[in-house]
Amino acid sequence: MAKRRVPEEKAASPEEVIGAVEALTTPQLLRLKKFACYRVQGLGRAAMGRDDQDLFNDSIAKTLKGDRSWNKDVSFDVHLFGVMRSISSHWKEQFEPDEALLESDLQKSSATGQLYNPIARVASTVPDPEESLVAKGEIDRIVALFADDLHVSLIIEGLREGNSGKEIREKLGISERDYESALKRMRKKIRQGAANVQ
Amino acid sequence: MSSKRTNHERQLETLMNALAESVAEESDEEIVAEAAQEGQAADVVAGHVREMLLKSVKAHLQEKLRTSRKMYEQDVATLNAKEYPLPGTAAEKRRLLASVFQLRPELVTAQWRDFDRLTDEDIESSLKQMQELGILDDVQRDREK
Repeated sequence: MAKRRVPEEKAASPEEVIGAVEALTTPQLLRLKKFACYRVQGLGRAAMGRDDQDLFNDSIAKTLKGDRSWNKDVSFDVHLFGVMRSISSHWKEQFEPDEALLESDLQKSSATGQLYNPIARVASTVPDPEESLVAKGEIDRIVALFADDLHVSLIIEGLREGNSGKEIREKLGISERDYESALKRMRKKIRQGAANVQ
Repeated sequence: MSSKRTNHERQLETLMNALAESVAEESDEEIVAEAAQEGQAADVVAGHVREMLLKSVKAHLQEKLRTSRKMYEQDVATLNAKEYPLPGTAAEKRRLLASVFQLRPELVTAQWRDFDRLTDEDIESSLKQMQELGILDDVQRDREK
């Protein structure tokens, strides 16, 4: 995981970062891309027009400035996952200061080392009808896609209630493997659903 | 537009973040297969992502360069705007700098070795910088000892 700030002279040099980027494999790069896209997509209007390239830009800049130092015992893609979590949470915080919790600060590790997000979702007092409608439409679409998949439906329900992956697994009495494979089905079907809509 | 996010927006974010974490855990074979299912050439997409990351490094370096140049220009503007008690003529300034180097040879770095080829502007700018750093005052004190 990414460590906190170090002076710029102690941060990874541009040459080191370029070397690390050059060394990333195809699967690592694919994971980074998808991770960035999902994080930005999740922010919705809180992304304020930023995209995955912006998330990469900020992650690299923070690494080079030493705002998020790269512990070289950790592979560079794993470091970038951590930085991207932190930055996207910060964007959200900038958009909505009342929701001033840094997800990365609260992130916890399960017994198996998997990260989960314990932030409970609290209803806003001043809803935005248009945005709410878009988000609601998207959630309804996702829910409808899994009407015949009990596992995924229950997981979606758990996530919507603000439960972490670990909490959902415990509540549903399912293994981490089952949870992961349900999320995989979810990703696949959402992709297919989106393709059909297009 | 309200800056408050609605409950639905937050729920959607939780779902998307869960999917992001799920991607991070995906095996090499699965993520490559996923790209193929989406009709994408894994290597092409990966190459594009690598380019994006390298572009980010370049953008950071350019930003640093811009900041350094701006600071340099500000320093030069400050030096030019300030009054320094330097000799009036270019020849006198040149003699002053030569005497500084004579008294403080450790200051003679590579850029000064070709002393005769330095322009009057170079000489004046160097003297101003030395004045700013207190070197001229030190040399003056050494002389008076």
